[in-house]
Amino acid sequence: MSETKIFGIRHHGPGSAHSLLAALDEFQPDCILIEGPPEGNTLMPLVTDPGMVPPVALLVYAQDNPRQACYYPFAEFSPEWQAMKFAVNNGITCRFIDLPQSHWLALNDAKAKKQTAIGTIAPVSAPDFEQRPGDPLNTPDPDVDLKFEVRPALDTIIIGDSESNSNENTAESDAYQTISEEAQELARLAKEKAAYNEKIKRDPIGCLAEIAGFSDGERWWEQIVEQRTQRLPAHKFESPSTFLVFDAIAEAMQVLRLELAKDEDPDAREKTAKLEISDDGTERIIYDEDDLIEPMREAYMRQCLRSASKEFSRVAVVCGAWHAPALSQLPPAKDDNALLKGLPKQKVEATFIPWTHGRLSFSSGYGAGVESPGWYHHIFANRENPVLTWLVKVAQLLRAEDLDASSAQVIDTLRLVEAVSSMRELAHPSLDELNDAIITVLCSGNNIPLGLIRKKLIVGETLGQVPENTPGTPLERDLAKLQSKLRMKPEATSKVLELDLRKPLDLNRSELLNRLLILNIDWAEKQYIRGKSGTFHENWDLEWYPELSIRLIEAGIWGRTIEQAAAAKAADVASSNNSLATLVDLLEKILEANLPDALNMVMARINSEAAVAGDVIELMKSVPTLARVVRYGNVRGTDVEAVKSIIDALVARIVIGLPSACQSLDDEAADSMQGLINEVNAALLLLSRQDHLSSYRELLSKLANNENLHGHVAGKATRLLFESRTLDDQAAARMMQWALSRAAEPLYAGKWLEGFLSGSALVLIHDSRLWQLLDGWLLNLDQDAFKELLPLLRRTFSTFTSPERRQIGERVRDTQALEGDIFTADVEEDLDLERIRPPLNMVRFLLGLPPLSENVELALAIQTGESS
Amino acid sequence: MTDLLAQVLREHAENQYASELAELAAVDKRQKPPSWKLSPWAVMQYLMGGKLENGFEITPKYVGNKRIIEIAIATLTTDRALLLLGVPGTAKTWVSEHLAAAISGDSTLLVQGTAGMPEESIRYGWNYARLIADGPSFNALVASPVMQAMRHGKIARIEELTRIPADVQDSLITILSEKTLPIPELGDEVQAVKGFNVIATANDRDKGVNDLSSALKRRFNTVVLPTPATIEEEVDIVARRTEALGRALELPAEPPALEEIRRVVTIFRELRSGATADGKNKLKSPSGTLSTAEAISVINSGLALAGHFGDGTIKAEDLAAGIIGAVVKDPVQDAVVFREYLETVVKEREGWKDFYRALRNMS
Repeated sequence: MSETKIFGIRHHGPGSAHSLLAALDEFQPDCILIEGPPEGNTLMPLVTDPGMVPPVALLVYAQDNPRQACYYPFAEFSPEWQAMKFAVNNGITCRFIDLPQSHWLALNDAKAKKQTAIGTIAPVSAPDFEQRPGDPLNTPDPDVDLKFEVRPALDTIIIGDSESNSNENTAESDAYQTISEEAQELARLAKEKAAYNEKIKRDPIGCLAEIAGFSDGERWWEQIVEQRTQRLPAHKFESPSTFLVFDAIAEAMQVLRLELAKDEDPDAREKTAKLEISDDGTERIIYDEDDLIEPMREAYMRQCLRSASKEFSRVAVVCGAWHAPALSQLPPAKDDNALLKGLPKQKVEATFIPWTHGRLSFSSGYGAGVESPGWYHHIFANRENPVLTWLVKVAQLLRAEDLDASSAQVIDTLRLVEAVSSMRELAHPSLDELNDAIITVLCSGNNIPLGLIRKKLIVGETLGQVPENTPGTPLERDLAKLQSKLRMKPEATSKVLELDLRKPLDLNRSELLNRLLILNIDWAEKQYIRGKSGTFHENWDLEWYPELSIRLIEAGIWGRTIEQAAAAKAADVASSNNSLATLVDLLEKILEANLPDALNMVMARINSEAAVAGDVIELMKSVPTLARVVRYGNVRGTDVEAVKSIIDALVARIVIGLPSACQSLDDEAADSMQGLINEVNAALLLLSRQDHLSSYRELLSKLANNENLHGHVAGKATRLLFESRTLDDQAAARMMQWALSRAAEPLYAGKWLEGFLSGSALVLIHDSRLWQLLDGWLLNLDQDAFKELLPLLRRTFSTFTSPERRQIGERVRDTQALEGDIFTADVEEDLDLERIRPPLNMVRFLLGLPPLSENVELALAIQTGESS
Repeated sequence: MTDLLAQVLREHAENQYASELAELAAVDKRQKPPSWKLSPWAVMQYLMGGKLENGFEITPKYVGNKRIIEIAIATLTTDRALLLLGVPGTAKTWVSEHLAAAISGDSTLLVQGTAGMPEESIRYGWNYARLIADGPSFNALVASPVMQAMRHGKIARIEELTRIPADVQDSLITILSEKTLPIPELGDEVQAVKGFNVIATANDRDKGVNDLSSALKRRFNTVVLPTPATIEEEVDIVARRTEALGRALELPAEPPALEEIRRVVTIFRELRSGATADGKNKLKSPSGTLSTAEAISVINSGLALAGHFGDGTIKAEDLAAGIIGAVVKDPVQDAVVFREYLETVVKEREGWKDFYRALRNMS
């Protein structure tokens, strides 16, 4: 009979890793079984490859659908990683024994399909990025945040296919809306309780530590487990055995499991299940595989253990502490066989991909992730004197940021750390005490400096590496698949690709290239096209170079498909950028790349940045883009309502802030300001929201009537008011006279006229209203005034091109010759009805309408004809 | 004697809570740093409150994060001095007084920092009559509270450290690093007895303060006292203080409804933190501090308005002027910030119509 030892560890616990190594050394097993996906067994030898640098993640994904995948992250200090290294270095057989992902993913898939089939569930909406905690340091992955399922033991994330998990939420929230409040309250309590139980299962040691008043499971392990074993009397063994730790842990877990089992009343679950059934109105049975999956996993682990016991004499099992009791006694194999019979199966692939400490950290959305991987790494690497070496590291990082951190201060910090830990009656300080002391002494009570170095220090910016002979990543496969589908071969020579976005194939190509650009994979460069076909034509310069493959692997941390990765990357850029202009730029890129997933997130960011942006100019710059989104975004299924509310807020802020922003502008600033005023006006016209327009016009009249402003701005404002007919002809003429009167500074008058007429030579030629206004003003000038103003007029008109000037000249001549205005657009006045009849009848003929006979009808027809 | 005591407007902490300190001393078996009346653990109990083993109830002196107070007490056990930093109205002075009372049993060794403070207030002055009569000697010396604290191993308190002129501030450096106060006139010095330390308070929002030199800063451990963490906590503080103050000032109005207080506190918190309470929208923050103390005074002035000129119940109009006065400290920038807040947040909020109207009419 073989000897078996179960080592229940804490995932990503450096303390566990140390204890485990010592225990393995003492036990000298000939087989190590590790909780992990058996699909990874073939990859095990890569662990000791010199090219392998943790943090890495073992990625298992469905062959035909990489979006369904599961990550098993490992850091240097992960006990599993150390166990694997131990096994490979000592030539010991090492196997993963968790339920194979081929079953697991298939189960998930089946569940998702079942839910979709029932049809009570709306198609999955774009991920709601707002659910993510607003930590600026996180590296978001929309899928990880939303569709992940943290495996109770190893903090693995299961990414279901688009529908699977978020559906549950939708269904639940739908259900909640209709049930009574009492039921809601009950359900909420049940949910809270379930969440806590889930937490216990996920990080049982963390929960024990919490109950014991520790902020962090590692400190508890260090203090309660490690310290105690050293102090234990050696009555059982000659030297204190390292096994004792794990026996004690298993015992604690046994108790915890029993308590939890008592707690999980099957009736209660029935009740909640029924509630949802009655409410949905459909026979949706809550047959939750999640409840079964735990027993299945443990059954599978036991099966592996049984077969290993037959082969080997000394078997070591490394699993999450939670599972330790389940593996220590082996029930008859029959039950386990029955449980595992007929599981669905799916083809999966496994590979290692580089991971980052940042993604191990809590802020990335791991439920049971590690809050401070940098600290864990540090205590794993510096066992002798972690506190002092940590403080020195902090001081060095602070100095690198040009902040004061002298050795004397480090000494003072150390003293405070010791004083605080003794007050808190701790044998060893934890990260909390260190942080408190560092803020108090080194940062003068200000936690901003610590924030500066937090990413490097506590989270750790380490990016892992994988050896070259690692199997390909899903992202590479996805790109290859897309390349063949879209018939775009990567070639090393430069080639120009012309795309017509009206064709679906070309549109997809453009989307792919835009997505790659977001991922920093510049396979193609967009060329700027001028001319009439610019709106639906794109030219791209394609050139593939080898570095792009590396970038593709790097981009693997963002997701498993190009679309998903681009969306995640865009979301990350959005969350780490504070400039409104950058965000609005990004919004355009996202629209071009068609990433609805990232859109809402960017939108939310724009909303919050717009709120704090002090610069009205920046706000104004973002309005036209947003207006375009509202006007044309419907085609892409954008949530236009959200943008509308952003615009509402923007307009309110612009209206409040613009008058002061227009003060004391120099020529250049005034010129760009009048351009912006014009653009915002155009954007608001595009939206044609009456409330916006009226408040904007109110603002414009404020600007137009303020004589202290730069002439450009006032002129432009008057012009826009005139155009919108807020000012009638007389009022406009009066304002013009005022602005250009003798009392006004000539320079101001010139600028005013320039602002009034800027870029509108053509309008002047074709709009009789404007023409008459200007003409009337000019004719009313007396000789002296005209002489004085002539240089100004000349100056303004010199900004027009010579053909424009010629046309204006011609028009003046024609007007004088005809003594009337032939260009008038006001149809109802001087129409020669007989002359207009033939063309109108022609139009009616083309439209398939009978010709007009009566004169009376004619005027009417013109009006209706205009509108139709 | 009791009659006399009753006439004192405000008692020192060590007298007011003498019984609590005595009870704590009785049960305190933990190790005490030299010259400390209580162990750090007992000081902690005194400040945060709690029930002792013998059933005696200690009232909480500071409501808030326990860890902050732990750090503050731990600092005083080291050789670094303690600097309590925070916006006005965050109980800096209160904490410093109680710390001194619990540690040294004496909270009276106090130096009030002012803009025109001479060096003598920190070091020592002379009794000139004595000086002329007997010549320079220890007898002719007038010891500052700091010097007395050094002699007896007690805690000295310095209020508003950053208001003290920079050159006077720097006279603290020798005291804090060498733990000695040289008296060149006598060719002698006063060396600090174990247990001596300094608690200074400073507010980090005042304009025109004298920032500490790096050399002095290094001698202090800085503990920042934050504004209340949750709206419930703050509403509670405001409600209790308003009621107490209203009674003391004998205002004729009824104490305001909790809902009214909640609305004022919400406005203060939202503008202070730069985000709406639901966390959905970011906001610009005005230049003022918007401390809890100011919220209290807004409610109080509202009460006074309602009591003397209104029907005795507080209304949105009574509060509007106070709110605007507290928020708009800079007539140009803050006015824009407040109008934005009004138009984008208050206007939309359910059940805040009267507030919106009142505030809009005022601004």
